[in-house]
Amino acid sequence: MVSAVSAMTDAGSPSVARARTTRQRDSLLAADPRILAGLRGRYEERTASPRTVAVVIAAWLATTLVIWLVPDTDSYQVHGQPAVVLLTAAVTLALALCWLVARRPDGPRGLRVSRWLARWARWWIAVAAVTLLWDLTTAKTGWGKPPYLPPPGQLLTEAWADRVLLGSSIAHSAGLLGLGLLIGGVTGLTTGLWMGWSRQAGYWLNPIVKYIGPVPTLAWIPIVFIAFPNTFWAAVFLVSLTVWFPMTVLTNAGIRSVPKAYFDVCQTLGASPKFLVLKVSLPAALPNIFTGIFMALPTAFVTLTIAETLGVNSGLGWYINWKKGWSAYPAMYAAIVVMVIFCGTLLTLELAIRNRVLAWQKDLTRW
Amino acid sequence: MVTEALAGKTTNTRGAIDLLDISQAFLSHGKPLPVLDRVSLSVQPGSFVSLVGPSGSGKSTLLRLAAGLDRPLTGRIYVDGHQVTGPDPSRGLVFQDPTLLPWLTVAQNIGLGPQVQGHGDDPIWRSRVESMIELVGLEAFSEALPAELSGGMAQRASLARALVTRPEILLLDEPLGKLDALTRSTLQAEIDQLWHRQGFTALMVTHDVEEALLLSDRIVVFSARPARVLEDLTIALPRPRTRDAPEFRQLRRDILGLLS
Repeated sequence: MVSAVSAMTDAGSPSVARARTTRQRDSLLAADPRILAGLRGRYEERTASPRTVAVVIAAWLATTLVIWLVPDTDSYQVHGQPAVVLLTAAVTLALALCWLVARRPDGPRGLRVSRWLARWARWWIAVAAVTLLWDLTTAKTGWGKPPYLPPPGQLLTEAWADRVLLGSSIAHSAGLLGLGLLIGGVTGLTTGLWMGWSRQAGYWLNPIVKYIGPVPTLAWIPIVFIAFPNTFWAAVFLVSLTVWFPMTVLTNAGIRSVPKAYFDVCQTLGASPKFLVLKVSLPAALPNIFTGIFMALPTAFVTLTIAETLGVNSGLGWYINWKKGWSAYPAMYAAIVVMVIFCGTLLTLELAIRNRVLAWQKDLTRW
Repeated sequence: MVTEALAGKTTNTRGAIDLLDISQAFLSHGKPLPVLDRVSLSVQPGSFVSLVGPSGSGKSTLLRLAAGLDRPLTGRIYVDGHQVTGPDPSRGLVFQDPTLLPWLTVAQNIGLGPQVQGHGDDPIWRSRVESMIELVGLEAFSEALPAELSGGMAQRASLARALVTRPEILLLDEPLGKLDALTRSTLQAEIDQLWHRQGFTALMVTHDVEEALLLSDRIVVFSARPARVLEDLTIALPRPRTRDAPEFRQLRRDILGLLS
C-alpha cells in the first residue's frame, strides 16, 4: 500500500514533490482525486445499484401478484389472503419509496438509505421468497396440513382479531422484563462494583454469588411463588435473579481487570476514591459490563417465559401456551413471531448501544 | 532553543526529596525478596537526578515509594521536610507505558489533573491544558483517542498530563524505554526543555546511560538486587551536551564499567 501511494505521487503530482512540510504534503495528497477515489473504494460502504434495487422490488411485486392473483386451493378454508396482499404491497411500496430517496445521494439521508438498501438487499429478496414459498405450500396448494401449518394470512387475521389480548400480553411481558432487567441490572452492577472495591464485601458476597448464581430458575419456582405476595412480583424476582448473576460476575471481573497503572496515575493526580470508582473503574469495566448485559438478556427471556408459563397468568409465554391449549395454532404462531421480534429487537438495541459507548475501544468487535 | 530555555531557567526552592535508610522487600513464591537495602538519597530542588542500575535492581520500586504509591518496610521519605504518606499532585509520575485512559480524548487525558481536582470547567485551567497540548506539539490530535496515537505521541501526552498541574517533582520511570531511537532522542530534548522551562525536580529511572548523561546533574548508580547506592556522580558537563565530547564518552565508559 505504501509503495502504491508513493508510485502515484511520483507519477502525477509535481506539486506534492515540491511541498516542504509534512502538513503541506498531507493536505495536497488528501486532495488528490485518485487518492480520494481509492480511499472511497476501500473504506466506504457501497451504495445500492439500480439493478440490485430493481431485483428487490421485482421480487416483492411478484410475491404480491402471485398471492393476489393465483387462485387459492379449496381443499380447506383459506382466509386472510387480502391481509397478506396488503402487507406485501405495503413492503413493495416502502422499498420503492426508499429507492426514490436513495436516488439522490447528495444529501446525507439519501446516502444512508442507499447504503442500507445495498446492505440488506439480499435479505429482502430472501424474505420475499420465503413468504411466497409459505403461501404456495399452504394457501395455493394445500400441502401444509391446515391446523399445524396455516397460511400466512391466517396468522395476520387471527392475531388482529385477538389484538386486545395479544397487545396486553406483550405489554405485560415487556413490563415484567423491564422491571426484572432494571432491578437485576442495577443490583448486579452495584454488587459487582462493591465486591471489586471492598475486601469485606468480597468476603461475604463471593460465596453467595458462587452458590446462588448458578442455580437454575426452575428450582426456585416452588419457593418463590409461595414467598411472594403475587405471581407478578415473584416473576420479577426470578428475572432479576437471572440478570443479577451474569451482571455481578462480569462487572466484578471487569473491575478486577482494570490495569493497576490507571489507579496509580490518577492517584498521583489527586483523584479521590469516588473518582477512581466512578470515572476510572466503571468506564474501564464497561466492555465486560456490556458482555454481562448481553449474556443476561437471553437468560432473562428464558426465565420470563418459564415464569409466565408456570405461574403468571398473563404475558406472551402464557399466551402461547393458552392458545396451544385451545389448538389455536395461527394465533400461537403469531405470538411466537412477536416474541422473536421482541427478543431480537432488544438484543440488537443492546449491541447498538454497546458499539456506540465502546467506540473508544481499539479493535472493538462490532455485532 | 535549548540555550534560550537555559537562559530563562526558573530556579526552584521547592521540590527537595530526602530518602532516609529505605529498605523494601516483596514476598516471592513464599520467600522474602529484598529489593532495597538501606538506601539513602537526597535530591536538591530543581535538579535532574537519574537512577541507573542493573534491571530488577529496585530503581522503579524506589520511584514508587517516592510517589507515595507504596510504603517502605523501613526508613522514611521526606519532600520539603514533610513525610510522604501517600500520592500527591505535587509529585507527577510518568511510566514507561503512557497509561492514557483509552476512553478519554488526548485533551481530556491531559486535563485529568485539573479535572480530578475540581477545576475541569475553570477557563484558566482550560487554557493551561491547551497551552500544555501546544507545548508537546499535539494540537492536531487533541480530540483524538489514545488508540489513534503513535508511541511517541502517547508518551508526549503522558508527559503533558503529569506536568499540567505544575508539580514540583516529576518522577520518570523509564519514560522513553519503549520508544524507537529517533523518537527517543527527540523526546530527550523535549524533556530537557520542559525541565528548563518549568524548573521541577526530576528523578528519572533509566537503563540508557547516554540518556542519563544527556539530561542529569547527578547520576546515582545502583548495585544489583538488593540495591545499594554504588556511586553517586555529579555530572558537571556543560549543557547542551553532545554525545561525542571526550568527557561524555569517558563518563559513559566509567558508568558502564560500574554496571558490568
